[in-house]
Amino acid sequence: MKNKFDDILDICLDRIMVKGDTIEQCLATYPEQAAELEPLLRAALSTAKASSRIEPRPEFQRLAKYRLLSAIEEKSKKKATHRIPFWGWQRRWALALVAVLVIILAGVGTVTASASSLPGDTLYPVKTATENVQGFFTFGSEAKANFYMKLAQRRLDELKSLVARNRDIPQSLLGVMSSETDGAIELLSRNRHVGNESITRLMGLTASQKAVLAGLIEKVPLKAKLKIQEALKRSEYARGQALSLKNRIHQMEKPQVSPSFP
Amino acid sequence: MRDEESTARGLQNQDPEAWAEVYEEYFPRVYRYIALRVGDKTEAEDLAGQVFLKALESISSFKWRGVPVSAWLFRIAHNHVIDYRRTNKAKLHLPLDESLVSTDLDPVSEAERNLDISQVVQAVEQLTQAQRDVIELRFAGGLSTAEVAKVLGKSQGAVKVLQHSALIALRRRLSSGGNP
Repeated sequence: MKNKFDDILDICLDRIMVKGDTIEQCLATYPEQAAELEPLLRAALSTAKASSRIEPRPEFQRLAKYRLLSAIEEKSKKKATHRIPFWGWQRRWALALVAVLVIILAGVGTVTASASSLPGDTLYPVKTATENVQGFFTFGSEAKANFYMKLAQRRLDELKSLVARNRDIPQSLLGVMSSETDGAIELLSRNRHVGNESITRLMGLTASQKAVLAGLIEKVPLKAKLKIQEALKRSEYARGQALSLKNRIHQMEKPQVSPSFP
Repeated sequence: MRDEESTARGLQNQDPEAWAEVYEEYFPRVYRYIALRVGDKTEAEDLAGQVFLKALESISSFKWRGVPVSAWLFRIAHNHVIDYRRTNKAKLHLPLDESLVSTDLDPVSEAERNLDISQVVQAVEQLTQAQRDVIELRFAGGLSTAEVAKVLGKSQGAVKVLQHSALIALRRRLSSGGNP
């Protein structure tokens, strides 16, 4: 009998707190238990109402959420670095070979059609394979740096197109764009005779990456926001490196003042 | 909101969107539950934030066997508060009504809220620990009796019995103005 009353009390509490029924509606369903139920339901309702008024400060709630999402990001990064890397010359050769085979098998028409494809499209692997072949046959550090900049600009255009079409942004796209930019910076900074044109191009690329990524942050859903934030950080760093590279070249171009003798 | 199983999968895959959804749904409830237990707003905020970080740390060991995400999360919160109370015994007697109530209201309604909350907090404090656990999870955490049973490792029947006896005691204390 007591168990039955415990069940009825629980059912009434769920009806009131979850479904929004009134105490009176519940009592009407259980007239025999109404006298015993009513004071208990009122005590429960007072407790639930008083508790519902205990609220965290909105600014703390936002801060704690930011901490949580940053911790998730950190964890994902760590996980990614634990994977065994498969980079190096073997991979480059393999990719080039695959790309040549793709081009031969797919034909020139497919390759041309793939130029406008986006990540996730069927023809996108053809596009990247073609790029790998082009990269393989690009010689000279400045030429290669310019080629990487061209690819990074292409990734940025793909990113804009994906957002405009409300499509998912793969993490790899942003990672590849950053790596291509880093590759260009690395090659240019190693070259002591780099031309002004390449530096201007790099400055333009990093500026437009920063502007596009900053503009996208507010437009994309939360999941993509974190990816964009990370890419923005990397592009800001790349912009800083591009600026110091530009300054270094300007310093080298300045005519050396020879000591004057009386 | 997605179903329980896909939420659990999203959490395990460290999908930020799944975590953000769970956070939005449960942070205020976890906070309320902790605030009622520790009686201090700032401590409760910190502890609630830590609960979600702990949840992230332990998500790899979470197995989806029909246990709701809410029960898993509140179990972490419950254990975290127990640890906190064990190491911060001196800090436990704080002016509950002052620290818990949010201050963004006009003075009259704020006074009414203070009265309500302090009465309830005092009445809840006088319950047995087992009754307190059930009442705090059920009414501050907003869990069902089935979820409370999972958090506390008790049968649903035992939770219902504790709920009943706790409400009898609460009713007596609330009607006498919170005095024993």
